Amino acid sequence: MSLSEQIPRNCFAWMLLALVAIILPHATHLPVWELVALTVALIWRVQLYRGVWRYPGLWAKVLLAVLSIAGLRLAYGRFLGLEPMVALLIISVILKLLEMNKRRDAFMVIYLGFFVTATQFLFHQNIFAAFYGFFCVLLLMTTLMALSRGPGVDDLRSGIPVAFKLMMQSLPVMLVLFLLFPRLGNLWAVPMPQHTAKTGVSDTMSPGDFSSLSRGGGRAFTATFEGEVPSARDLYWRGMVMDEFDGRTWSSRKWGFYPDGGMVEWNKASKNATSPTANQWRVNAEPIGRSVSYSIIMDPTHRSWLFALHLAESTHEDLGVSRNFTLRSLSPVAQRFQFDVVSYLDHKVESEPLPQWRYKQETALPDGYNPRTRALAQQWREEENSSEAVVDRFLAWVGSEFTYTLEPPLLGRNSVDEFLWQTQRGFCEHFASSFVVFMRAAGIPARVVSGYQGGELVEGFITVSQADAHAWAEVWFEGRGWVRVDPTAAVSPLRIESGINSVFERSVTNPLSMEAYRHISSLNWMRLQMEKLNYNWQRWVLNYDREQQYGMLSRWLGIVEAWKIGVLMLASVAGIVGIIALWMWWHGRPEPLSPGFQAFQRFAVKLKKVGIVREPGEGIRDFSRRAQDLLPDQAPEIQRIERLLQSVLYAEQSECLGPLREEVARFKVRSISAPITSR
Amino acid sequence: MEKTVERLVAEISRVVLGKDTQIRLALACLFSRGHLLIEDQPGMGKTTLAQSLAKVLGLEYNRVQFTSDLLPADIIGVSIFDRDTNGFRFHQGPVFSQLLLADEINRTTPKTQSALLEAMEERQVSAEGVTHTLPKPFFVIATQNPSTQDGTFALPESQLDRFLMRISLGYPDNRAERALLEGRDPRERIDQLQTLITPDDFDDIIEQAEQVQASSTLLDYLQRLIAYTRNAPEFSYGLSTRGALSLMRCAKTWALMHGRHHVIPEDLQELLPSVVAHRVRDAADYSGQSGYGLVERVLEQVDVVG
Repeated sequence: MSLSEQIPRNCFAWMLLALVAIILPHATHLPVWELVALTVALIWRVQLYRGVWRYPGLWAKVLLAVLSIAGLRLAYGRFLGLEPMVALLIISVILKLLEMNKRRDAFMVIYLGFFVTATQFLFHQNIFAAFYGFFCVLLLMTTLMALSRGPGVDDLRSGIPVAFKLMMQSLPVMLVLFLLFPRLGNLWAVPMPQHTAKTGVSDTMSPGDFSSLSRGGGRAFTATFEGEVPSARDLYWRGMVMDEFDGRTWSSRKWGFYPDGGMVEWNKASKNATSPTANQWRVNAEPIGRSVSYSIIMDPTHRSWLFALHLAESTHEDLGVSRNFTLRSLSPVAQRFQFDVVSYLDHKVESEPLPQWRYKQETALPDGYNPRTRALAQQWREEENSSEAVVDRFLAWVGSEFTYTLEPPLLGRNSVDEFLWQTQRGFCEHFASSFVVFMRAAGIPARVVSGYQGGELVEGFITVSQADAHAWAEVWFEGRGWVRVDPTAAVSPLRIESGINSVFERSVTNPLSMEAYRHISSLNWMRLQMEKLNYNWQRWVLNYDREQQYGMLSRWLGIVEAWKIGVLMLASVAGIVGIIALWMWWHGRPEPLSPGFQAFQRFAVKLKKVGIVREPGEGIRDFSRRAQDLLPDQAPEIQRIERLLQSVLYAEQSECLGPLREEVARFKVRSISAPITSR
Repeated sequence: MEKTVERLVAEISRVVLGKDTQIRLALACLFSRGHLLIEDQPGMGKTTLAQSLAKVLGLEYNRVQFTSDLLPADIIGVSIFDRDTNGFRFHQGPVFSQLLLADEINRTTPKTQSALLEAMEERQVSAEGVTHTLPKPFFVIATQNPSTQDGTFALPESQLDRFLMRISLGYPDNRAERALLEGRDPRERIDQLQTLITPDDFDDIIEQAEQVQASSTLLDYLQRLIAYTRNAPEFSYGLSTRGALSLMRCAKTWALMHGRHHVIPEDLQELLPSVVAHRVRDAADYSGQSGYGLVERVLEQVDVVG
């Protein structure tokens, strides 16, 4: 192999490092055998370099390729889709690494590496992923540097500064492309990761669900308010309304017969419909007075329900309102999702008397469960004269005798009976569930609502964590409609007023979540800074979509036209390149000549016109002597200039500068006695 | 000053005919307190020039003919047992003189060559643990045959660097040669030369030369010259700092000898072949004979203006 085809040692080292770095973010969703393959390939590569092992033969390569394809098929069960394709790309890079033995191959691996780096953003989009991507590109650029510098450069680190400089120079171009390059809808649409675990509050609720969710930690969403943030007591982020109970688990009604319209009214549909509201039940909600506007950025949950303060309205075209007045998304939220909401904190919902079929729905209980609860509920119903009184009596009972805990005891078949008379210790779902069961047994319409309560105010926005997951109840009173009742608030008012962390210092036990370290102030501070950073990243970078781009461009350009964008893009890139070029020129420009030499240059130019050209190595004395020989008539003049020049330049007599300038200005070649040829 | 120089040149020219430039260079070298290396074919008047210089400048001189069996002690001196004092007494060698004429220095072995090294650089010698100071001034004028000739030990770079100048004489032109052939034996004529300056004059000249001004513009040019020898690919190695200092010192003397109190680029240019050529080496040439060509390039390429 010729020397020019050899891959330098530095390049190898950087490449191995870069490959590990670019594959690492994919580790969670790659099949395990691919990580094993990476390790084997790295070892093989090192052994190859040491000359201990040999390159795989043709048959071995074919076998490896076939095995990889089969492995992918087994791991995913399909080839189409994002994860199998990314896995295919990565295994190709790994296999290419094995057979790489020429510069050309190395280039290929590096370019594939850039591509793999890009794919990591399909799975992670936060600001740390962006920094990590930057780091990966830096590694790859350094590899490229080492490759193009060739062998003989010993210092492993020598390529880093150049690579970094190159990246910094390309950064402005990247920004221009990010801001201006048209976002061409479908062409750029990449399939979203599937098979990812669903997170957050689910659509069913059994005892123990919320406490385990709460311990996991992790961000659910952030909300940015226009104007004042409502007090913590009002921050009930409503997600699901659950009105079906099977004796153990609460769930929301997925289908059923509704005489007054469909389950969900979609904004898209109502826009096209002839009548403004197709569903009769929309009139049941009646906003009164104060409203708050805010925008929510949700992390992907892979579920279709959204969270908002009751009573929420949104005009986002992918949203709809369910008949329980919760917000729904058309498709599961598979990527970060932002929507604007207006909530009317004072409202009346279904304040008219409930029709019989509604009353039946909201008081239904399965037979054969919790006999003791039902008996007591009926007894209280007879003793008290109003629904409100029953509710108050229940809350007073719970508030005086029960304990709020993150570690509730397990419950048996008659979960409510056991909770109310035996354990009396529970998390929010226990209180909400037993409350609603009790009310329904007493003939009062009630239902469970799940979502989040509270949140952490971080510089103008509220971040809501999974630890804030909460369940509460809504009770229907005659004339008032559905009213929120939170039995947890009766047990632990602190939970509602100042959040779960004021009750349980270490509510989050997941060691991978930063929230588990809230009690360490420096780590907590760091967590808050990270929250802020990520929030701004989401708000200003990730949210920059087609509409935002269009809005910005129309502010700048008036009517947005393709040619205008093209010209703007070209002009910006040209401007950036121009600035860099100017900067380089400025630093490489020659120093200005001293005044003495400037005078000499003027003198030399005058002589040049008649063909007396100075050679670079020719000093002033020699030049002047030559000129005197060629122009004997003007010898005294030239001699005077020479003497002045010598004085200024070499005897440092600056007072001679004035006379020198005058002499040079006066000097003029009068006549040429003989044809002049240069030295 | 100019007159003194002219008188010295004229006096030496009576013996060394038609070599005015070389005589001036040699004088500049001695006035800069530097050692001189004269390199040429045998029989070109190297020794004659050296002897004439010693005579005219009124320096007390010793001459050593270097041979391949010459030992360091032959130059420095030996301690001999003295029966009268019952102890050893140091007998000074030929190096204890104001001017040492080292004839055909490259015919002797490196050991003896390097014995001269300490004397040249430190102006003192060590013998049997005792350091002896040499007289002031102390000069070495060495002559050597081209190192391509048989029976020579080429001086290493470190030793060449200690000579301020290396000059060669070359054949005399027609007229000068005719005059030589017509005249009497040069050896006899040396004896007739007159000493023209006193040791005090000599010191005075050295003192004055050090006062000559080198402007920042000139130093810029000098640094460009040095940088070129260090950066250009055709140079195997560039000019050392000692070389640069030597050049500067010599240029000041040269300017003084031409009646100026400031150095101009032409001074450097005229001295460059003699002062620098033996200190640089062409990357493509291993014989060490390429210095003059390189100096030519430097002079052509480096701009005086800048």
